[in-house]
Order: sequence, then structure tokens, then C-alpha cells
Amino acid sequence: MTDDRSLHLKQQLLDEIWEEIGSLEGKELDEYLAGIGLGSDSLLENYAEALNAACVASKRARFEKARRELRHKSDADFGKIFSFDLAKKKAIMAAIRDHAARTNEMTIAARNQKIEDEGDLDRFLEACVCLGLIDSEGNLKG
Amino acid sequence: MNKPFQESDRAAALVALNEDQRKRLAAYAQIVSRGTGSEGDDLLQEAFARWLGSDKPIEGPEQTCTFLRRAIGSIRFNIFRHAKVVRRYEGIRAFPEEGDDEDPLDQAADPAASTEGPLFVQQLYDLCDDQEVQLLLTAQADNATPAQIQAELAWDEKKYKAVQKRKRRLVIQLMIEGKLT
Repeated sequence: MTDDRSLHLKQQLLDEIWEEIGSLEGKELDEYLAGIGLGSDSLLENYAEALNAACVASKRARFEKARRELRHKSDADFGKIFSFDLAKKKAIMAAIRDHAARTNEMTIAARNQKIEDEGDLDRFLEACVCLGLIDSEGNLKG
Repeated sequence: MNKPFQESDRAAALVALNEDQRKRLAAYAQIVSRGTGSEGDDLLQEAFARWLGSDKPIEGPEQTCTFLRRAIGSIRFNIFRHAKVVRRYEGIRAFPEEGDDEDPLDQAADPAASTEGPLFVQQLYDLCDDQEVQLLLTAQADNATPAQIQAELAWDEKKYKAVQKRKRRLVIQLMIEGKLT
């Protein structure tokens, strides 16, 4: 017998296991399963638990993916705003403060935050992007 | 339709299987997991994960059931294949000697890959004490068709089906007992 034929026969036998189980239903299936030591109630529990675990894992994976995408997007957005020259950054900050003063969308403390260097300015603009006050181009939202 | 809706529909399709279908899938996972080092529940969960992440259209419970059954078989195969790779890797690492790359053992094809099928069939043959099932196995190993087997062994169709049934149940019994992997 060739190795390929052996592997094929093994696969055939595994398929036949499914055929055998599939040929039974209802009470006959329960009795057969009990005969090989598999309780029907226990199998139904296994199914429900595995399904629940798979759904939880899937949701968790989706959440992680969304978080990674958001982080990646934020990184890209900040990269853009950080690349502006200092004059443009200052103009954006001035526009934000002016808008905030008119709309009271920002606390006085935040509006009057001391900006000593470009690093402080970057952090301020980063916070404004995160808060949704401006987009990644520095344009005011709403 | 967005992705979350798709996934909830796919999850609903798993809930929609009837009790017999659920029992069959859980039992199949239990049986074929023997000897893999994994639990049947793990195989089942992995199969569900494949279904939830699949693009295959949701057609109906029978088709969902078939998808899951095949997924369980594929996951089982991957576990064995992974184990073989690990065994082979560890085997090579276990004898680090000078001129390792010239060792004929290293040059040889993966021995496990060529013995899996024959070993399984040999195990089954050795564990079987039903002579008619042994005859059937031998004929099937020679690639004989059902008609050829019936002619060669002078069995009618009823007899052939009865021996097939005994063989299937024997395979299930031996696998569930962990004697056949």
C-alpha cells in the first residue's frame, strides 16, 4: 500500500466517523453517544461553552483591532500636525483660543495654558485633536 | 452591511443549529481530538472562530454544519503537522554534532510525514479482532471500490454495509479510547 493511499484511507475513515454519527438522530443518537461515553447534555454544554468562548474572543479581537487602527490613525494625524512650521502651529493655536473664548468649549485654565516652547505647543495641539476640537489639518471642527 | 452585523449573523447561524447537529459536532470534535493533545472543546472553539471570521455565505444549518466539520478536521490536521515539525526540530537539536549538515538523517525527508497514514492503518488492523473488518480494511487499502470488494469477498450489499458499519464503530471506539491516533 502506498503512503498516499494510506493517508487517503485514514481520511476516508475520519469521514466515515462523521457519516456514522450523521446517520443517527434523536434518541438513537443519544443512545449511541452514551455507548461510547459521550453524554448528550454534556455535549450540548460543550457546544454552548465553545460558542460563547469563540464569540468573546472574536469581540475582543475586534476591539483590539479597532484600538490598533485608532492608535495608528492618531499617530498618523499627529505626525501631520507636528510637521507644520511654528508660525502655522501658532496660528492654529490662536484660532482655537479665539474659538474657545467665544464658545466656552474649553476651560479657562486650558485656554490660558502656558506655552513655553514648540514641545508645549505640540502637546496642546495633540490634546485638541484628541478632544475633537480640530482635525489633523488644524481646522476647527463645528 | 457592516462587519459587526455580519459577525452577529454568523453567530446566530451557529445558534440556529438543532440539538442533533450540535451534539454531532461536539462528539466529532471529542473523537478526533484524541491523540492531538488538545481538547475537543478547543477544536470546536477554533472551528467556530473560523466560521465567525469566514466570508462564506450563510446558506443554512446543513451547510454551516459541513463547514464546521471540515474546519475541525483541518484544525486536527494542523495540530498533527505542527507537532511533527516540533518533533523534527527537537530531534535535530538533540544531536548537535560537527558536520550536522552532512548527516544523512538531516537530508532525509520528514519520516513522520511518510508514516502517518501507514501507522494509522496498521494500528487499526492490529487492534481489530474482527476478521471481516480486517478483510475490508485490506481491500480498501488496496484501493478497491465497494463493487470490487463485494465481488472479491463474495459479499452481497447488505453484508458489505454491515461490515462497513462495524468498521466505522470500531474506529470511533478505538479513537475515543485513545488507542488509535
